[in-house]
Amino acid sequence: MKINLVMYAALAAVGLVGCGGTNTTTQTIPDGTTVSLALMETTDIHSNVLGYNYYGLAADATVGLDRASTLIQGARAENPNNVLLDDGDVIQGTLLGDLQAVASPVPCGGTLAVHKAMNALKYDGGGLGNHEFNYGLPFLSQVTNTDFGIPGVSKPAGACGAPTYPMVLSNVTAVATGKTIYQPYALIPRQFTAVTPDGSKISVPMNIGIMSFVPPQILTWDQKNLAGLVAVGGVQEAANQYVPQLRAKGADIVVALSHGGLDTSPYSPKMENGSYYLSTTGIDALLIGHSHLIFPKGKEAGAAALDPSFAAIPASAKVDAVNGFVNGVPTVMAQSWGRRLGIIKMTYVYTAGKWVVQPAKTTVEARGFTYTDGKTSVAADPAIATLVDTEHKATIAYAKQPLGVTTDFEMSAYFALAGDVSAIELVNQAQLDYVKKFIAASSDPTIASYKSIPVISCSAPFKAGRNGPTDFTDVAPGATPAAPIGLQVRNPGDLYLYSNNNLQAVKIKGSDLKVWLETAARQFGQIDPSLTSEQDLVPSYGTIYNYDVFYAENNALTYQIDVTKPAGSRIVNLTYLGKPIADSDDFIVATNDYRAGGGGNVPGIDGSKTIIKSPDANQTVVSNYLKALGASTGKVTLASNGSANSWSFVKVATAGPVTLRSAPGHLALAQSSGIKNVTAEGAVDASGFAHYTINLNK
Amino acid sequence: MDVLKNSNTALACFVIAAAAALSACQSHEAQPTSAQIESVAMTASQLGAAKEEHQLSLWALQGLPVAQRELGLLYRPRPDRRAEALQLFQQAARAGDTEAAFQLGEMYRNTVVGVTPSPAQAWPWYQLAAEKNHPQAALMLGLLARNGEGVARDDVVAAKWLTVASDLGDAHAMFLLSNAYEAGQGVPRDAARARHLLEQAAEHDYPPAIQQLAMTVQTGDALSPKDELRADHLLKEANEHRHNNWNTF
Repeated sequence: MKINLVMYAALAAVGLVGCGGTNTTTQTIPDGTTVSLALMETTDIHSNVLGYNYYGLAADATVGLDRASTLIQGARAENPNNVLLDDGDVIQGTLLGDLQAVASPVPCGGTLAVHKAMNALKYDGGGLGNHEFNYGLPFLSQVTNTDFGIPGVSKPAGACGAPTYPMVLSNVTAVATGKTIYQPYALIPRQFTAVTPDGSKISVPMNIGIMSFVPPQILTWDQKNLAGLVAVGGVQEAANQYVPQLRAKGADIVVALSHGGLDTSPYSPKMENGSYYLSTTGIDALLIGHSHLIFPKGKEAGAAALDPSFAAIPASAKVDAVNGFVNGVPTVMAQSWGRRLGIIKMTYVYTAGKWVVQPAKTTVEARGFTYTDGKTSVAADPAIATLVDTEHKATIAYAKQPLGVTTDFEMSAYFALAGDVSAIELVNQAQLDYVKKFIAASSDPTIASYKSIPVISCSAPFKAGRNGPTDFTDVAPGATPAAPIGLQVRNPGDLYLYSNNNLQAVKIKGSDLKVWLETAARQFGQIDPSLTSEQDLVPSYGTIYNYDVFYAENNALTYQIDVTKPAGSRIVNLTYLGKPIADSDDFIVATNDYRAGGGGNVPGIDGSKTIIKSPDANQTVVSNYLKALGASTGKVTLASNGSANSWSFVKVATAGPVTLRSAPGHLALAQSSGIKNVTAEGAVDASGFAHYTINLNK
Repeated sequence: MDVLKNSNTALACFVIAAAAALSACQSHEAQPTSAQIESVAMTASQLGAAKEEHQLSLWALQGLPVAQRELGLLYRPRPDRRAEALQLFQQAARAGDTEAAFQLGEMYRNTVVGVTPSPAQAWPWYQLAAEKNHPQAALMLGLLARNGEGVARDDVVAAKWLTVASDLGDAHAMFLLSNAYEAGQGVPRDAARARHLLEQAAEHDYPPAIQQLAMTVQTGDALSPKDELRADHLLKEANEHRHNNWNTF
């Protein structure tokens, strides 16, 4: 009896029982039959397939789909009826992602490493995130094997490697056609094991309907890829359109994959984190992301406190951040980078021909690697590492590839605070070149009107002793004109440490420049020339990244620092093209988003003077500049790229020694680089720094 | 000059009459919601759709502030419609639309070729918006005051408005206010408060704040323990998000 019923239902589900029409299956399920199931979510994987940090070239056991795989397998064992869904921001975020999209794009016949892993994990469906658009529409079209119907955007003919699960996107349409660029929703038919009132098990068909939503802001963030090609609507409008269609097509459970956080301020179709407003569109479950947060609060021992943004939501908004409900709809956000698996467990009872959810039995969890006891992490699934071994090794090899340019000098920050610019000048040259070209090419009439204003640049010794005596930039050690050294792909990351910085430019007055230089000069201690005891030129390296060194083409900008004066009145002889700079002179300064946006608290540099916000990373700008030099001359040289000493100390004779702490063993380098004021290497202190003598009278 | 004034007055009268007539005709129709108007505006701007732009202009003539603001936003980048954009924002702002008041401030403050920026004219509109809880407008007041643009330079006034903006959730203001507490600019020096604001600014994704916090926990100090994994993850986060954040703040 039991077996027959199960067989019958299964046959009905696959359409082998034809006579009864669509009612057949419903007639076989007794009222009161219950089915328990789990909806599982990953979100914001960001190409973290393996727990590995490609910038530091070291394992990172706190992230990765390889450990998420173990969580998935555990949850599947606990919940035989399950559906695994992803909420987007899959393809971008690590060097692996960049390699497969930009440096060595995966061909149509290949599949992105992250998609290979997700296919192996047998995802049931996926939505998109804003970062999917970072590499442009043609690439996205290829790696998801989807024709967007956008003129000029085509993918190679035939089936390209892609996710083998359905991908949906409900609020992005092609301007040319008005149709969504992905299917706006999908119905996933599943067979679940249910329990009848008499306790027997039967297989029942259930249809899970999925939709997905991205923030309308993608049009701003990726305007160069998307402007005029796609249109983005509000999330609530899209849901209101598609929920009824999904129901009409037989969806038993409607799930929204919303790549946005929970913003409870009044609804606008323009809002970035509109997920809250999907909770009232008739959906059954809400899987969210984008904010990289944990929702609901972790259940493991010692779990982190609820994120303040959730804690601040007013009670009237009916967001239960402890149990995971938004207006009664079960909701989960599984952080990011594979660190958590969202699990919504639901129980349905078959009632008068319909599956009816039992809200009291719904539970929601954002399960992390240490879910068992708050301490012990799950192990990585070795199958994932095997699956993407080739891509993983290629990424590591990529970092060590030649950049196509040699250097005849060692680029180091050991003596950057004594005037050496060997690790800074190239960064400044690259930034300056970028901004000049940006202004020259700009179609914005305001930017174009700045063509006659001098462009200068500043950058700092980012890696100069902050984390101890081994923490100094040192690229191409031993390079000389007689024995130049080829630079590698990873070297721009050594010269420009922070891969998160975007290039920006600010428009300032001569008076602002003086104050800026004074702020940088605060890094020096005040030297008393009459003291006979040793004085440390730079007492702390804690904020050495704020020591901006300025540069203009042909070293046209020069200044001196008088370290005997109090902080705030140390800059003298500030000239441009040989003339003193007036307070009213205009300058455009190429810098980064940290400084332009108020980092380092430089007076007046607080975001209000920013004229160029580039989507390009400073690190990429440096890399491209080096590659261009490689293509044109094949090399960089000390004379052209490492010895424009734009600043010097005001000469002063001191009664006692003035010293600079740096890594031991580099006196010869200072001398060969022409840093004449470094005259002797002294003893090594308890922290491991050698105290070099600085002659301020040279 | 007089002629110009007269023709302007005549135009204004005509517009008012037309608006009255329209609203009389359409009074039986249900008013569109703000979200509906904004949806139409999104279509108009993303698709360059003439029909939707026309619909917006009809709603603007009816005196719907959200439509006036959205039409103003559509006109703003077009040099030949600058005057109309200003007028629409003013109408909407006077009718209580906070975003329109902010946009008006932006139009007066920003540099546009052929127009002299007027931060002094921007101030009252920013203030109108800020007093109705517009975070960015409060941030702008803070920036104008700390730089002495359009008003006398005053760190105390600047800190006051940065506090308003920060309390309203503006990440940029949180970061600048953190700097102010760190240095004692316009507020008493308070390192703990500064750190709390830095954490908040980073939490709200302000890129310099994420970087600053990463640098801070990388070495650790009296207020934050050394935590290199956290520093790495903050920088990883910042690196990923630079693709969104390049023009968000």
